[in-house]
Amino acid sequence: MNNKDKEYEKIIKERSDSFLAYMAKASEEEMLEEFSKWESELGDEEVPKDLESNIMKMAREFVAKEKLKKNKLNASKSLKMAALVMIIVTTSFAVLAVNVDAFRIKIFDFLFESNEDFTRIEPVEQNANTGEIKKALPVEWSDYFFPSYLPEGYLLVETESIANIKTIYYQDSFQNVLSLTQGPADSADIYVDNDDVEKGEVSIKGTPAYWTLKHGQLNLIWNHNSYRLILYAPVELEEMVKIAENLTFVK
Amino acid sequence: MLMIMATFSDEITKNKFEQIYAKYSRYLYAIGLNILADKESAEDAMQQCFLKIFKNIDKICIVESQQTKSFVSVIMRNESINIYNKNKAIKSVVGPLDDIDMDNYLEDKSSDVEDILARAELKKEMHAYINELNMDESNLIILKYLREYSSEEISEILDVSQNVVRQRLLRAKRKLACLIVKGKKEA
Repeated sequence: MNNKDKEYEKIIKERSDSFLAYMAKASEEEMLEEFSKWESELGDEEVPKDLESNIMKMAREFVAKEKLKKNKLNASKSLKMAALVMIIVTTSFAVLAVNVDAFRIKIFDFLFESNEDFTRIEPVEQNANTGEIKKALPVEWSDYFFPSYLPEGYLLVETESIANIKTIYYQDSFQNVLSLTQGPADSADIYVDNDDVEKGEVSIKGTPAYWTLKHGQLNLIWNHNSYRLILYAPVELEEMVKIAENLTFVK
Repeated sequence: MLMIMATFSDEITKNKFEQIYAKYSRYLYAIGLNILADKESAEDAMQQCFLKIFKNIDKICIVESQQTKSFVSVIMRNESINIYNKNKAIKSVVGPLDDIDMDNYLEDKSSDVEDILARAELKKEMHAYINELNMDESNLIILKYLREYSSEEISEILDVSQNVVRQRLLRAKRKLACLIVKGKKEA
């Protein structure tokens, strides 16, 4: 097709679109006129009173679901990144580490120290409590932690189990999400994204825990017996520690 | 700060949504009742319609405008058609000329369609052709050629795939071209 043909086709397309825009305008005018007539013919008929509350409730639920989805995606991204870093570190240095002492020391330095990008979390043993919360969670779940204390307004909305990692999601009326993720402490090291975050260390009943704060979302990570626990919520550190100190272990 | 911004934005959305409900609920209910002739179905259509409005609320700038009225009308008409089709278990709400044999009037080439539409003269009787479009086709033409939404946006608004949007648009254009040719032959 030469340039002249292309130009011709372009003109035809533009004229065709103009015609369709004209038809669309006429179609819209007719539609609006007809619908307005229908509204005036409605007479005394009222929109059912409970419809508004149902619709508003539906919109709130939609927002809550979207927010939950977004938070789950964020949590999943963090875990994926941790796994990725672990794989890269392992595959890059494993062979050298076995054979070269000097290099092994360097790797261990790298893994054990907090550097510019990542902070390693150390496993720490601690005893657990038991409780009766089974009703609220999937029947197939066993040996998990459950928060006995939650900030006001948070309700359990969803649970998720991927391999041996379990997550419980709570949400308040403002659609703020609080999640508790738990899994085996020795499954993998966890690396926390240090980029543009506030971070620090805090004690959970004597056990060191690491927290990061980014965009108002607080992450608290620590090990309890053979479990690694991660709390994620837009709450103050003090409140988060209170939640962490009041976990119940369910057999 | 981001948290505050998010909350602020949520509040604006909530207010806008409430305004839309206050302004158009009765109007939209009338559309549902007329298409579906059943209160319960009209309420279902309203719920689906407002959920769709909420999902696409960023496309609404001024609540009290012809553009918004048209936008919510198209959504309500679409939701009502969906429920009507579901209730009647038929494929679609058909217009009077849906069974027209287009091949009698057109070659099966999209360029022919564009050519016919490009050369069509704007006359008063052209308005009659609008009535020959079914509600689906009319919705698509309004969204695409008047409101200039992309196929992707239309697929979100009407909850159909982009492929369906493209196919239905092509069919609507062919139908219009066919009507124009038919009109000329009869004249």
